[in-house]
Amino acid sequence: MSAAGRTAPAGRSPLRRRVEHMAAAGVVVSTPLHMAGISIVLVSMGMIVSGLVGAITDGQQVVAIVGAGAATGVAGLMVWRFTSLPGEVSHTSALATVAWSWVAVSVAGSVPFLTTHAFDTPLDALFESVSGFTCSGSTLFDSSGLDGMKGLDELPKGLLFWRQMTQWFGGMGMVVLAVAVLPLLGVGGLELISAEAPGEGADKLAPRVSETAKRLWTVYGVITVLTTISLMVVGMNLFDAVAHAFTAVSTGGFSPFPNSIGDQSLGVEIVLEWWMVISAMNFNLHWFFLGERHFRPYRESWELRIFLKALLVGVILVTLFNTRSGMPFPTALRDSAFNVITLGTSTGYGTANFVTWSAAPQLVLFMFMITGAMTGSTSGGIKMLRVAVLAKHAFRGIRLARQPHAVLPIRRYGESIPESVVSRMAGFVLLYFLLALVGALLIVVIGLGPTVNSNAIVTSVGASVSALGNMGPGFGAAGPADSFAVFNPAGRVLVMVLMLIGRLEVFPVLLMFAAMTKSLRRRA
Amino acid sequence: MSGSAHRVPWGQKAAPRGRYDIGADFRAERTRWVSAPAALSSRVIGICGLGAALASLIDLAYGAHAALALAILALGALAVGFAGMRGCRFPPSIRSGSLLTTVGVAWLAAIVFSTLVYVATRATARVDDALFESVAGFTTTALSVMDNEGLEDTAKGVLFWRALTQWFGGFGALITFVVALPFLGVGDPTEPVESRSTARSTNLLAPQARRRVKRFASVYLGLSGIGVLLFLGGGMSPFDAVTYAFTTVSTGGFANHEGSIGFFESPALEWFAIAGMLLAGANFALLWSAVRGRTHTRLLESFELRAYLGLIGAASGALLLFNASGAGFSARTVRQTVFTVVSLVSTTGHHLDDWTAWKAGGQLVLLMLMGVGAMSGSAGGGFRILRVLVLISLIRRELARQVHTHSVMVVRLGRQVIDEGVIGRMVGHMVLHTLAVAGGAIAIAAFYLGGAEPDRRLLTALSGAVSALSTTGPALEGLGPTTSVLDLPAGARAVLAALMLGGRLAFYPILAIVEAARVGSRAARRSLRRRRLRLIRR
Repeated sequence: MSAAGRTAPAGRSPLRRRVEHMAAAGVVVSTPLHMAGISIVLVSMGMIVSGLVGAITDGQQVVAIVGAGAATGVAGLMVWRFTSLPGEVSHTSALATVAWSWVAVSVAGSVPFLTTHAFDTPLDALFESVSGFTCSGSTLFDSSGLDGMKGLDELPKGLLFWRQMTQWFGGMGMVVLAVAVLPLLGVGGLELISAEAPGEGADKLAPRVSETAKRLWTVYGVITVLTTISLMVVGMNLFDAVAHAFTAVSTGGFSPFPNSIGDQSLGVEIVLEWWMVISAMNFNLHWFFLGERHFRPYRESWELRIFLKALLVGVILVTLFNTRSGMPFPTALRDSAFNVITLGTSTGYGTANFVTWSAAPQLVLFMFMITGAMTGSTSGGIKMLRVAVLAKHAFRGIRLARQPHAVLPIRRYGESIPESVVSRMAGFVLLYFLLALVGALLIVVIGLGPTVNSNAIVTSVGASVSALGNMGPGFGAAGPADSFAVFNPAGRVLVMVLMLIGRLEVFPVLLMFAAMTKSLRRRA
Repeated sequence: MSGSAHRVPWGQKAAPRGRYDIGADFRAERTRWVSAPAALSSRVIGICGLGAALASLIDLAYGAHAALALAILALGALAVGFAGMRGCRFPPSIRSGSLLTTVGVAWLAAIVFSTLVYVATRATARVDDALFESVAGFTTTALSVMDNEGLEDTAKGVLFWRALTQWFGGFGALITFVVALPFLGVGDPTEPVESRSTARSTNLLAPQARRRVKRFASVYLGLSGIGVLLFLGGGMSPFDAVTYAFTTVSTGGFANHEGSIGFFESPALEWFAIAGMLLAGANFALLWSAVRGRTHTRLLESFELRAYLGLIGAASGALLLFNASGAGFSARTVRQTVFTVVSLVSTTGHHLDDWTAWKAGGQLVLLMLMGVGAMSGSAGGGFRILRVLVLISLIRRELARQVHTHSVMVVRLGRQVIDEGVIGRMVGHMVLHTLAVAGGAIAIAAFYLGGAEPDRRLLTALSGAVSALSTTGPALEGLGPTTSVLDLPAGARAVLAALMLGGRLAFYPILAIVEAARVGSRAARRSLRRRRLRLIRR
């Protein structure tokens, strides 16, 4: 799942000697498989913990969950033992590893859903697992009972806890990915937030990632604990507080409550809003704050200012639109604020069913679904940094149109942004839009179930954008009050693929496919 | 405002010491106002006056309901035009920024004149409707406030004027793009890249520019003439043939009847219209080459042309598959599908049947077609196929750069390498386009608050914004081909009008005017202050 500090230095440790011996004996040398094995082992430990939690709370189907954990643990250990890392990690290999690990972990994570008979088909279990590890939050469990799926209140607590844990793990991996791995590999222009030039960092990837991971996971843990405590202060019991802390810090959005946050008090909503925004900020900022105890990193961050301003404008606009369409002001403010923040941070908790709102507030929410939050966090979407850089680029173009020979670099922090980075960001955004369009088209043609009729386009475009941005709820027939069960199996596969592509910032998954087809062609 | 060199204070000698004395010439021409915007606007109004005069004559022939109003306005416009030709002069060279301002002001002048026409002939109920119709006319968008409301009872002169605005607008847009916006990289792709790079100043009277304008004019007139002949041959009355040819060749889409071309129920006419729209959306430079008999290979080499035709073919095929409901592919279905596809890709906006009844997949394809637009250097609008192709190549290059981080790669289109600066501007334009669609959709929806069916309105707002920006016109759901734009609240119509203008003129001229107004007021204040200081010092 993440290239955590497992790459021990080439020293005399017995483990390393064993591994080298096995490599010499003809064991498979493959970075993706090795990393996948490690990740699966970690994930299986989480399953066992969930099983124990289930035993403590309601004691249902504990054996199924713990058994699933044990089985996947064993499988992961086997893969780990019989594979090893090559000496060097190439650029493409690193990206492919990331993609494969996520896929492998999602497959492993779907096992508890099957052993507890929460789903009938492996595909549905895989969907829920993918939605977990990509921190999306789209669910197939249907509390209204219309689509033939189980409701959340029928599931054992252990399984519910595992569901929350999948997002927690997904967030852990994502944070390291977003802060350390992807900027070093120069994905989508993110090298802007790293101090090094992309491409050079590939050989320094492993040690750099391990030191960064420890830092980030400390922040992650601190936020989780603080969220749990503050939720308990506003009235949740321990189980619920931990469950929501897991999905708030990872900006995932799963909730064990059938109605998500819809029935909770205002206090809970406000606490969650606060922690969602914190989790959607660049974790580097939080690390510096914890170290220096100074607010300076927050004040200096250009992207943070833009992110917060965007949220503010969004809340104002949506509240305005809702008030003018007849909602009483207090409800409008409360619901608009929560929904703008939850979608602007790509979390996806549900309160009001915004699908019944007017078109204008829904369009504002749709825009937030596309833009996402800050880089270096667990959130999805295009990220505010890219939006800001490209917007500045466009307005600079307007001034150039009037004065063609002016030299106007884009300024940020006093340095100018190189054209190559702008170009890379543009390429990323274009690819993102293209994938969203193609995804929407495929979904509307082959992916919709029989119950969707009049708002087919809205549902498919909404689902495509939501999946790509790892938001959670969709629009139309797949809104916060419904589930993604309105999509037929083909549609669910499409949504899953989009979720994975979006989580990994597009390029790793595409390179994974490219590498697969290339190796197939070579073998053939 | 014009940036000319004749900034000599009153009463002083113009010439620097020892040099030639241009004082005599200067004093003779001091009576003429050197201002590009005024010069261009007055000439444009003059041309509009000619058009109004023609409309007045036609109206006399058909019943003289609006002839008097048209005649009076025509006389006024012609007077302004003559005054401009005598008293207003173009500066010898002009900065790019000023050129944009000039173009923008000229467009606005034409729109204002057309508004007066509609108000004076009482063709529209309100002034803002008249403004909307004028904007839709000159931006060749097929949204009309006069649809479905006794359209066929409207005075023939007004209908002619309406079609004429689109005809003028189509040509005007073409010239604007070719002369004023070459740095956008969207112009004649058969030109060498150097001439497309930014120039500090454009010489308006340069032979190169004039030759280009003349060529495009002949293609445009030729197409119009062919269109008239074909429509006459297909059975339309002379009046209908001329007006429909005007609105087809300009990719405008206004119609004299409610069902647009479908009103005539003639397969031949529908195919002629398809041909007309197809040619109008094709690059005029290529058409010129084809007509002059030059290398057919040049046509085949054009990536953009291949993409244009390929897109139409693929979209038609896909839509036929989507809409196939077991009735098979009758000639009628094929014709209707091809007509709709060509109409939307060329951004014309003529319609045959009501596509809001099509399956969702088909409607989404239509929405995407609206967003793509026609070929560069054509009368059509939209985002332009050339830009889409370049941006797709950009995606490919960035993906490749992901793997080979340190290699220097260029973006190619066929064999031609696209300059990085041009790509940067195309990216900037895409961002502006996206922001306009987003902002426009929200603004349209904002006038639509409360009430039921939010999904329908969502789609109306979003598709309406896309369609208006690409100057097509009809969109999905509430802005479909058979609904009237009057059903939308007036505020939403205003937003659509703004989007139409932005889409047709590629934003820059409008933004240039805004910038110029801001900068101009600042500069005016500064120069006023300086003059006051000079008086004080003396």
